[in-house]
Amino acid sequence: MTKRYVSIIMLGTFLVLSSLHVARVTLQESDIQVGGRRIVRVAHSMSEPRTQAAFRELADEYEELHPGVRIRIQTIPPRAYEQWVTTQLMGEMAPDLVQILETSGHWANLAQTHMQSLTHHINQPNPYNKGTTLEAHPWRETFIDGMDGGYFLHLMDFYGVPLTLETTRLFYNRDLFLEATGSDQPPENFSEWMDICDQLHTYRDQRRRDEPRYHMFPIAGSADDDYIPHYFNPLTAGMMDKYDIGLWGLPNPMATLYGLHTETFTLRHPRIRLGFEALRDIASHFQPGFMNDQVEQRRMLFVQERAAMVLGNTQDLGYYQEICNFRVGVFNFPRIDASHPRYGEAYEGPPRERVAGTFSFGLTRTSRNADIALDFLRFTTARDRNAEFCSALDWFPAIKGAPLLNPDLEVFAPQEEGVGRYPVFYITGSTQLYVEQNLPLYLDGQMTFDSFMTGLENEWITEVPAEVDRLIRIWIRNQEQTEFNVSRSKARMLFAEAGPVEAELFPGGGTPYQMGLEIIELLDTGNVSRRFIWDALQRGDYTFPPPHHPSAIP
Amino acid sequence: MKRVHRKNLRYHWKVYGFVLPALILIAVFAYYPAAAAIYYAFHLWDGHGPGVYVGLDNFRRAFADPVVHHGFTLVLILVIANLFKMIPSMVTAVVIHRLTSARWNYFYRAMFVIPMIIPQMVAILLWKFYYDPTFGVINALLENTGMLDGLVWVDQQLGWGVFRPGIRPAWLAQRELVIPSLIFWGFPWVGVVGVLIYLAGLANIGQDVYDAARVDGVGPFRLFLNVEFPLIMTQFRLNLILMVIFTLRNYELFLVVLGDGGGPGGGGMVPGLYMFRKAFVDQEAGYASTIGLLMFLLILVLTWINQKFVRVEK
Repeated sequence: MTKRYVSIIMLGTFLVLSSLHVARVTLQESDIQVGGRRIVRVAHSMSEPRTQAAFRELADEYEELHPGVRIRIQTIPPRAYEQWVTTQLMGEMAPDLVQILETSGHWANLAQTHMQSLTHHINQPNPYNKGTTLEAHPWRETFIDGMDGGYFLHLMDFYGVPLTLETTRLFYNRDLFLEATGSDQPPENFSEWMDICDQLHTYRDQRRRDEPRYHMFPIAGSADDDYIPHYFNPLTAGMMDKYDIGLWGLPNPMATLYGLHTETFTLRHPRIRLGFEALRDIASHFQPGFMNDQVEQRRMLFVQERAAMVLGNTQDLGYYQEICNFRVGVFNFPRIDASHPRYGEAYEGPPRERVAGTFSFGLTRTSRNADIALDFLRFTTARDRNAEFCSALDWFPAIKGAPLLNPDLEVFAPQEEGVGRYPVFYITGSTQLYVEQNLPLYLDGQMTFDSFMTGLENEWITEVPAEVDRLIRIWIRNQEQTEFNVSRSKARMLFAEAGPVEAELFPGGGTPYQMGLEIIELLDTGNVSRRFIWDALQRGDYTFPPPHHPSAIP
Repeated sequence: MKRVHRKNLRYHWKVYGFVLPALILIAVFAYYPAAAAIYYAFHLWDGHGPGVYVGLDNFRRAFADPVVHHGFTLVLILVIANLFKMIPSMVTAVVIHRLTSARWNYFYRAMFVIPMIIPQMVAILLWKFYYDPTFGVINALLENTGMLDGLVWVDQQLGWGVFRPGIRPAWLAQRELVIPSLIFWGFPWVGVVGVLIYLAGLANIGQDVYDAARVDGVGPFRLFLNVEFPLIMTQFRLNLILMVIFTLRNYELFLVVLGDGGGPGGGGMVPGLYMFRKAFVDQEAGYASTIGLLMFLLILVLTWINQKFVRVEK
């Protein structure tokens, strides 16, 4: 009997102790003020010690400037980061600032529900740029990418502040280049690049005579490599313009669908053929089965000198320079130009790179020190601070005019001028699946261009119309639900006795007048111009309909 | 079944109270998702927001979908291959059971339990690494033993066009090699759980049965065929059901190894993987539910056939 009570008492004690521990941790996590200092929590997924040290240094500088503030930085392993942030946001325990990994899909849902729109802050100057040429510029305009890396297209709002710019380039083993080709200089153009690859093949075959187990590939590739736009787009740019019936001005799958269904366009077009042949030329120098490999595998090939070149982004520069036992160089994608004997006839111009900042941070709705968190973001993106932060990591700064302290970074400057509007050859669904399954076969020489494209055209013609129809039906149903929610909010506003208006529901919400204008705007013009309303409301010169609305144009 | 009267509840409420949390959890986490999947199988649904009722459209689409056809054909091939892959487990169990030394018997049993603590994902990644064209053990073995040259020679004689001189085969990236590689996966196919289940069945065979067989002069192979196998038929049937269910449901291996596209030419696109892709890549959760429901019905039918036709002699 006594034993029974002992076990119950022990169980109860453990329960109480564990509850207390959980409560203590919970309170600690949600601390907003400790020892008279206000706490701002920041979470990100970059676990490399250099990133952590650079971030800490930035935080220390801020704390020195604002003694009443403490910045707590948490690093979550990349693989667990998304789940962790989701759980924290849903549990309303999220840090004040969280790194945003994407601007669409799941992250758009998170932003819409759990993060604060920054749209009405970005048109104010950044006070930390005082004394620089950026002093009078709105915060948004101080970014090289115009803060596009933090813009959520489907929500029509800015939710993130990017700290760096990321582009893909080619890293190469300078020692191996010298040994195999007699020069450690990178290629000037596409033809030279392919020549170097051939020389590397020859070098490998010669060396194999003495070392039968020697394996080396000119380029290490993976399924995630982003080389296709650099070669496909310059050869096919502009060819879809006449099918752009929606006047999007951007690559659009509907243009492909329209062209194929009116039988005025074919995916077997000679220019598309040339574009794909250029891709196959490059892929022939990758390791076998590269489309099944992940980024880690291609990195390993390069680091272990099993590949002479590897694709990588800005954030890889420091990594390769630190870890490789050979001299590492980096060069931009060698261009095909009009003088190329085979592809020159289809050449339209250099490819335009999408310039969008990365390593973005968003402000959570549950932040109880939102003013400080926002100020910390301004601090990190002041020109000088951003330059310091990025140079410590060999990253490309996100702010205009920030100096590049590592000259190797110059090659990562984004190519903003160039051609676009290439044909989109797949859309989510059967065509995407077809391309994912068969493009590796084409690139590996297991499938001909004609059989690849015939199959793809067949998918477009037989499957895509039904898929688009399904998408539209779901979209309409979701729109109905949105309209219903908007009407419910409108009713709440008009009939005050229904209870207070939920100010958080809409950006710029707060007074019924503001909300009323936004609802009318939302219903009348869709989401298109919602993000431009706030400043006009603040100045008191808001006019309806807005000047850019079709009904306002005589 | 004895009916519980309301007045008895007064005496049994504690029992019901203890069972209730488990029942609630099962209802919420097992029955509700299953019921929701049946509901959404008849809807166009993107995984969030309201769905659009479409009747049997999703089923008509699934029956006409070549990817679904391919998926179920692939599963059939894998089930047949797995039937043969069940043999090593059974043989291993019999060999361990027949060991006369109790110490060695215990040692081998323990050796078969230890791998159970290795997470499945680790095993998958290890095998993926074995198949790596550049660093993998399989290509290194083939190269060092000269077998790769042999394969190239056979290829040249038969005109397969799969094995090329001087090029290491990319086992998981060449259309023709994907399915054979997946079948070879896990060699020598001694399933830990399978061995333990067979050992449990073999342990129930009395010593008198073995003595009688010995007196009759039955050899080791006949002993297995006429005595041991019929007496572990219950365990074989259980393993068979588990294998069929696992083969039909399994998609994690394919997802990790080949990606959500099913690998080159879609060679590894099993129904489970297609369901995953439809739900989480194409945002067609309604259609994914339909594929899931078809898989469930197939498992149900196969289990029923197994129960009905695979006889167990008592």
